[in-house]
Amino acid sequence: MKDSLFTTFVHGSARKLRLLPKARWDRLFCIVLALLMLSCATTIPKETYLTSANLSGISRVAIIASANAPDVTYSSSNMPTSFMLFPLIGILPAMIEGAAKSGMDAEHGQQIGKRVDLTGIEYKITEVFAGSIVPAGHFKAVERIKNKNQDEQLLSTSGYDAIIRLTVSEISLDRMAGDYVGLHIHVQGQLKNLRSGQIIWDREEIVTSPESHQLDYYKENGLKELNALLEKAGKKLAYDFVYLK
Amino acid sequence: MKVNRSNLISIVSLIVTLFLNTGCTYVLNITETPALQMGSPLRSVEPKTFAFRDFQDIRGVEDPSLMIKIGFSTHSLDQPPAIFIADRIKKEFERNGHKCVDASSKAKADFIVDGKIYKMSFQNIHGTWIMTQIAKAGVKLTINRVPSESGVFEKSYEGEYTSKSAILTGITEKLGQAALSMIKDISTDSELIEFIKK
Repeated sequence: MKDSLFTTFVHGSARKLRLLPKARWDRLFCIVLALLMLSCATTIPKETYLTSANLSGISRVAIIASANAPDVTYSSSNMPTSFMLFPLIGILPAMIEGAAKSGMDAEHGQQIGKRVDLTGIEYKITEVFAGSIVPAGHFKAVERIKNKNQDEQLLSTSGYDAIIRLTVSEISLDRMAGDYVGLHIHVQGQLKNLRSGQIIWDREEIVTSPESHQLDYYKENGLKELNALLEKAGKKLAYDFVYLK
Repeated sequence: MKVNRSNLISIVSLIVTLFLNTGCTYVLNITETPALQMGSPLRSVEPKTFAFRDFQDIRGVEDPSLMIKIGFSTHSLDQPPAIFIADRIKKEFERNGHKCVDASSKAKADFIVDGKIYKMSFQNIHGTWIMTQIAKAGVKLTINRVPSESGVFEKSYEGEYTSKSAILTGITEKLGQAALSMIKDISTDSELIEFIKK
């Protein structure tokens, strides 16, 4: 037995593909496989908690919110979740049905994902978060900056001491059981001291709808459900400021 | 068919490794996973004393600590969920300025806390390339005001942590995250805070 089953498979595939010489392809395949496995491994994010000492000297804060397009990947049962998010953005029910019938591929889903009104989501999370932290009285001024790419140096020279970035990094519908799906969002909050350049608060909140429903439910109530989750996530993040030790 | 010596050694090593890996019991040190550090509205309530009764595990499983079996190997928690979850809830109350005592100690308390663990699991769902790992925790809390006729609060809390990876790693951390998410829900629940404040 000259070659192992693995190398036979690799060499056979390489020859078929007529890509690389035998020895190099072998190594390359192993490296790619190792990198793929490492890249796919989930690491639990490390969070940085706020302390009152870190807030000293910060009085004027800018908030910049951003939201990523909804997850348009396929759920575990190979059903695209993208079309389920249509009602969240107020697109006509006819389009929902149309998309449900025709949008069974990820590419189509991505095009649809781009149409989501991310501004509304960004506004909502900022409103909830700022609405909670302002009464806590840690800062003299908390202002929303609409330009997501605002230069930090410019903010600093304009008199801002810190910047809070709120990122709705994930909005998706996960299949729970059978036809039942649950909405879930992932929000990250980060506070950077513009004077020192130090990130003094870095937290994540993953919030899932308390109950799962059938797809039809989200056609009617998707926006309401999303707003409830944004409110919950925004408040939870704000608690770090409100109930600071 | 001729089999050369090095291939034979490889095959034997592989069999031995597989045998060793599949027949083990792994202890998941859940007690070492981090506790909550976030701000909590529980801090806004004046300090109270909570007397904890022993939590019950109502999942009806033979071994409450067993989380997952993979082949012949088993992955079990270092502490049964009923003890671990009760301990984490106590720690969360204490972190926010409250006092927790054992109900059997007959110490004077403002509330008596009962808990039923109805969910604590780890699932590994195989996909074509990627595995989805879902860790879940769930507890039903019953909090009686002392004296008991002054009111009772009952609510179920759940936590979940989902991740995707090509290899199965970090079972303990993922279960810890699910438990943490559940404790977070308890600690930030406005209905519970209102009940305690009354």
